[in-house]
Amino acid sequence: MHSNGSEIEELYQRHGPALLLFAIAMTGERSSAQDAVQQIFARLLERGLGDVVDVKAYLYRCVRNAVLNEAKAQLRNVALDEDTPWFDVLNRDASEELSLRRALRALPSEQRQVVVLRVWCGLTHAEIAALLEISANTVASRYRYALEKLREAMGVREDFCADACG
Amino acid sequence: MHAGDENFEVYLKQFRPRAPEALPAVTGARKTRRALALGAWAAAILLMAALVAANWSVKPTTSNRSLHPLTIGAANELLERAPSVKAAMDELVRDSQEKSVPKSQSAFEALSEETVNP
Repeated sequence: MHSNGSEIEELYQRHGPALLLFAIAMTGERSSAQDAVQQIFARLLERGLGDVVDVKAYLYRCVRNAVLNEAKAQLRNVALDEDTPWFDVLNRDASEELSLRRALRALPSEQRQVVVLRVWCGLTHAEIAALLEISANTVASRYRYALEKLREAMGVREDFCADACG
Repeated sequence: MHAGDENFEVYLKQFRPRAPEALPAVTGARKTRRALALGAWAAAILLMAALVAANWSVKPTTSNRSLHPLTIGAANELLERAPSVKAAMDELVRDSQEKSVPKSQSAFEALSEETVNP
């Protein structure tokens, strides 16, 4: 399957940003998240994907395992990175990005992971459930709570219209 | 999920996650590191071999010390330094036959045992 360097590079271009954001959602900071994602792709460049069928699910599982292993190895609570943006601010107000980042950081890690996987990684509730090894109902409830908290933290009303704010 | 949630989700999706740093050319870098490590090892081994060889060739041994020819100048110097002729002869023999001559044996006895080829 995808085993040569250019195909792995293409996967990195396509999934890298979302994978990195997911890793950030787990670690709380960008630097170790970046290390985890690069470590996965460096290994893929060397060994290829082999007989992996669902590449996207495989990549997310690899990143999750890498972050969990790193956390176990270092036995530390990572301090949340206050300064580095998680999102591009090219077409948006930087204060909006900061507001979203702060709201995400304030979420419990398990809710943050679910909302990131759903909104920015494009995974379904079933895929998130399989990845995080929890039930689909748990995913749905964590997602609902996370959205409520984000909306509240960002000062967005419930009858908010995305187009008007975009 | 109600309409407010969907609108909010659409709003959130307008934020684009930042791209990670460019993927380093891992394979190439690793090969270079491996080659450098091998080169360093080879250089270290060559240096060690050169040092050992140099040390070996310079270090004086009993066998090559005994090969030094006895010149008149060296004999005169030895006689001047030694308290007596017997002592000078003893020292001369001790240098040339350090291992084979017992300490109790005199130089004259040792010399008398040597076979001289015509």
